[in-house]
Amino acid sequence: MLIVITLFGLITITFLVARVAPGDPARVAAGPDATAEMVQALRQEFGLNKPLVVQYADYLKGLVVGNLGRSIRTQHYVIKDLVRLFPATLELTVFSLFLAVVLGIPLGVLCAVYRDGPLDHLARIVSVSGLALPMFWLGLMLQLILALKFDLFPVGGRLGMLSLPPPAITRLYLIDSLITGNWAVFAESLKYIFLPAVVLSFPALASIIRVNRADMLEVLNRDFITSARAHGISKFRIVTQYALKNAMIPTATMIGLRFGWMLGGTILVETVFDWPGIGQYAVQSAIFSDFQPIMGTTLVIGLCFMLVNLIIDLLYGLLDPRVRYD
Amino acid sequence: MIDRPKGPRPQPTGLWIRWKEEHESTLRNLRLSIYLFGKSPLSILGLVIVAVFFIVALIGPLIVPFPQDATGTVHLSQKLMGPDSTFWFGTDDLGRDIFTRVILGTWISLKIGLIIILIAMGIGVPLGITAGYVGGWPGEVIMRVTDMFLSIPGRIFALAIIGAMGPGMTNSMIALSIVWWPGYVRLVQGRTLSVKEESFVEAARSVGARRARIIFHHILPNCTSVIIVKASMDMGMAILAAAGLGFIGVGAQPPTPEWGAMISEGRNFLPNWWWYATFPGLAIFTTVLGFNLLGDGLRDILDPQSRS
Amino acid sequence: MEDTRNILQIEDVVVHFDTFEGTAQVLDGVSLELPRGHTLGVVGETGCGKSITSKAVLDLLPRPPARVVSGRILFDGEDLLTKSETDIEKIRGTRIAMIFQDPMTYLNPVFRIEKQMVDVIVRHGVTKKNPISRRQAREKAVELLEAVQIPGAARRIREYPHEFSGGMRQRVLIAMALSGQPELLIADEPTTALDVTIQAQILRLLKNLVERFNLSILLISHDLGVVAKLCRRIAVMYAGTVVETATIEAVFSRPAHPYTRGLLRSIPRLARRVDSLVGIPGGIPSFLDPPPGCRFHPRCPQAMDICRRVKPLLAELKPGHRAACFLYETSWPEGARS
Repeated sequence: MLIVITLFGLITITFLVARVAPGDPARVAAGPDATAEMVQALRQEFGLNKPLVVQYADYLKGLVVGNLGRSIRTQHYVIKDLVRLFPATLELTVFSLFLAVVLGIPLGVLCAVYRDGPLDHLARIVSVSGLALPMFWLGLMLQLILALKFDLFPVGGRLGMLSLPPPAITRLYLIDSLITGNWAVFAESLKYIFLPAVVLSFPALASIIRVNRADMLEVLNRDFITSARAHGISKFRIVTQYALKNAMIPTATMIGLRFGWMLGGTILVETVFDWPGIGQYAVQSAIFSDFQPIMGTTLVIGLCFMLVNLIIDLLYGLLDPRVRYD
Repeated sequence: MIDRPKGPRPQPTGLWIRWKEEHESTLRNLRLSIYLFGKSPLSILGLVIVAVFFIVALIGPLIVPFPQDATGTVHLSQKLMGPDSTFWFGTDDLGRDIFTRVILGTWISLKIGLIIILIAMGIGVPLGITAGYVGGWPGEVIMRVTDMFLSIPGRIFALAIIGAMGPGMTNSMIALSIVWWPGYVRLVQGRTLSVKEESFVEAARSVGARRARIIFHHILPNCTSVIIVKASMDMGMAILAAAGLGFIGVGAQPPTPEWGAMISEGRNFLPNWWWYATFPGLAIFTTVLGFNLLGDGLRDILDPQSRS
Repeated sequence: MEDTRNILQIEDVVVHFDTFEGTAQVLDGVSLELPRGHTLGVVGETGCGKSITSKAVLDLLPRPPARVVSGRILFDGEDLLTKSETDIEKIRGTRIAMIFQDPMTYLNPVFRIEKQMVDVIVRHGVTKKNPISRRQAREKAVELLEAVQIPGAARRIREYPHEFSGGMRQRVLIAMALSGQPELLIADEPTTALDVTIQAQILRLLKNLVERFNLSILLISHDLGVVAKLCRRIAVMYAGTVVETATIEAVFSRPAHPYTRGLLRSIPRLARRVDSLVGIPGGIPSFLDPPPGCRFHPRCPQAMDICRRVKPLLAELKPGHRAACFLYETSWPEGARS
């Protein structure tokens, strides 16, 4: 029930943003040297001259059939643009999340177990700076050093100019190339996705290490850990099973939140690395004041975020049996 | 002569003394907090960075070596020179001293950060207290709306708002304020709920204290510590977000020396003229780091239960 | 001096806790003896160090803050304090087992009982060089649950801890503790968190197990009544040290130490008149800055000058009855008697 309300809220807010904010999207979109007629024509196209309620109804009707308007800049339907560009963003964010989780959780555990050791201090530096580093600047620095100076990684894009992408099954290059056994393309896609993923995952990695470490420390102090030790259960099992499963419960929420930030971060990272996804699409639309695509992108990203939070809620049930009966 | 014994010495009734007595426990707590804060080197570092930031922002325009390079001037003869003794951070493609512009950018960032946080608090705190204290139907509505706002990742939401309003520094501040206020509602509502349950509030209610008095005298002071902690962390995050928008090109516009916008311009000159993009970024990093460390330190002394 | 009749002999153990505010001297030379096949109750007020003593045996104290400064803990002749972590891990559950106070917090809330028990049983199998498969372990677990009288064991083993009542959880923990067939069971306030009627059941169960398996039990409790039901011998602790050890009858009829006397006087008894209800004035001392000499002297109605300066020895004033008090010659340091 709550989901439906939030969904409706998302749709409504996205709708209202353009129409209620000060300023006139049509005028802004038309540009500084547009004539009055051009602005009027745009207002007509955006439907801004109709009463708000009618606009809302039209908007909802449009959503149902998948009509999100048209981009002035690309001259395509927004929905088509989004469908074309979404897989790239999906691949980047999922891969980044994967990196953040796969590195972050073990590091958090190790920091908790070897508290105040050298690893812990190093990780603390990483997590404090991770949240302060501007992602776009980190991206530029990595490009500067690793790509431009040392030529270890490419500067941008999803694949080299001369390479052909793998057959479009999922449209996620890494997976498609694996499925079709095309190792060369797989390796190359990995090289291209690596830097942007590292940058995008960095703040999330910092957060996850920090939160997981704190949660593990708290759980390791709990009574049932003493009990398990009293029964002779090995330290390894205690840390990796008994403690970790309990610590993951609060960590999971943090991961969900961080994913949301990551989705937002794509607008920066995709710009720096010329990654052809919906983040870059939104940025270019914003610069052109092309307001329909921005709304469409906002809606899509909001939906993704909702979905991820839903998955995490379900995951809670798997992690914590006490929740299942509510 | 009989020496009459003097009576007990009259107590000094100076206002200062009386104030000190009344607030004795607060002063004691303050001293303890300062002592604890001083024990953490990272927190001190944060405080120092933030202090430097404020000082540079305020007196910056008075001390920069090339004040005319703030906007507008062009010295093509000295364009794109590397860092040396005259131009500590080098010059940009219009021959302007980057060090000067970074310093001047400090004031801009301060302005942006403060305005965003103040507006966000101004909207969020009253709504949060209302939702928490009054509760019921209006409280539910406020919280649901807050949830809806929070369901859209902040950066995209800000971008969408700017997309509708058009680029510019003012618009980006408005957009970010709209993105930020829901966080305060949640924080303050939660805190209000727990303070409401405390016995001293019940006691106040039972002697018939008016709602407004309870809110201002009991609830608000108990919320200030968490608000301060959040505000100091948010200051850094807001500056970061604004710089991000500047980088994309929808925030402050050139020739304003905003750090994000400078990095965006400098991007075109990598790798050979690397200083252009590097130094403004370092400025952002240092500033945000300072606020984060300060916020962490404040949280440790003001709100120990949420210590990480 | 080691007595081979004793399965557990704690000798003069000193434990310090390093805290923010200084070093707390929580155990100031604790000495206990538990003969094989017997039950020893350790009583004292909250904060006297009995829980810390029991946890020290299996090295379950949280180290950093805790530090064992000196002393010996002899189990079956060997000093546990000199053993490595791996060796102690081998003893836990298989030779010495422990149950604790609050069964809700001492069971992992996110795992089924089945997994928790099977993990333990399999682990014991590995330690005893007698490996057992998970399926066999599961059968054994069901048997154990039945032995502690949990109805419908085969079905209930698949449930989670929060689905059991307090008394049943404690039975589960007892079953887990016994799964390794230990020689010694340390029970730290096992009934404190339970209702009085359930308390009686658990105590009966423990008594039963002592007889069936020739188990030695070290029972920690602040409740003299509980200890009286199960134990033959009793040790009284105060402020980090043992002040008196004797049989139950001796302690109740002829208590030697002033603290024990005060303790017994302060227990309301139905037969006595209400106006003989007396508390012990004062409170337990701070461990950061403990009183010199005998730690009880500030509250002791019979304190003498020497009590303020020297710590009395825990010595035998009658066969089987020891006390640490300068009222008895035996507690004075060798030779001195001013």
